[in-house]
Amino acid sequence: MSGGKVNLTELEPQQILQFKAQINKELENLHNSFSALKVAQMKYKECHSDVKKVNANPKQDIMVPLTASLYVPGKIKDSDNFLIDVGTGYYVEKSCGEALEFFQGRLDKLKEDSSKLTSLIKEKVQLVQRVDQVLRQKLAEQQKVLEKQGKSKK
Amino acid sequence: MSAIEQLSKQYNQVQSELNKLVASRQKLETQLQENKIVKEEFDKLKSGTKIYKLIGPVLLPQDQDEAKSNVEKRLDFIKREITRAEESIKKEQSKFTQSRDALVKARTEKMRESAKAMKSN
Repeated sequence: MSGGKVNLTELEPQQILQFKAQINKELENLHNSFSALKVAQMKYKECHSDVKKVNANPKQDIMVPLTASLYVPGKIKDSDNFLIDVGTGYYVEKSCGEALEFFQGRLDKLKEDSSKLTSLIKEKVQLVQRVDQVLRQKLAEQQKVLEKQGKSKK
Repeated sequence: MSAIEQLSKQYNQVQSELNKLVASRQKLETQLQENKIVKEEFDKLKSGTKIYKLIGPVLLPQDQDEAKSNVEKRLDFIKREITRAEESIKKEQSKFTQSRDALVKARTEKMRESAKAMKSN
């Protein structure tokens, strides 16, 4: 990181701007993945609480969607076993405890990932700030040089 | 100018080809990660647990060993695909630098010529 900073002061303002644009692009990507993580987190949280709710109220009446606009009444026969999508089209049967464990595991993993991502984003933001600082310094120096030239011409 | 035009056309072509390859490499990576997660999940299963596979709108019951070996096979396949994709990316990259260098060379020559022409005028 410090190596990059040393280089930075030697770059032309235009190159610094280019560099800054690149970082901003990366930052945008990171923000996008962060919101994707948040969405996934919400979904798993919902699943987690749904499992709890279904398990707490057995023999509940429900409406089953046959299509998006057609429903039939139903009853939950078995509120202790759940089928869970584990990815790539595979579904696994799990008991209530296992299901809760599964979702908690996923949530923990997502939490870990998003905290990693947050620190990465922080780092990048700081980098942008530093780049801005260097850029301003550069421009101020250039301004000074220009003013001096103007004076000596007079 | 036509030589340069041709070179830059080629350059753009190679670049878009490279972008395509990189995108497919990324797709493979996501698939690999997803399958890895599924494998991890399968490894944790008890022997009696039922597994279903979603085929179209239907959940089809599947044998656990079969499902496990299927995921295993898919992982191998994806890994092979990744090595292949990386090879072709490498090839395309060398093509890319070649065509970029050629383009830069042609442009500088052109500039030099026009500079000469200006001087002699």
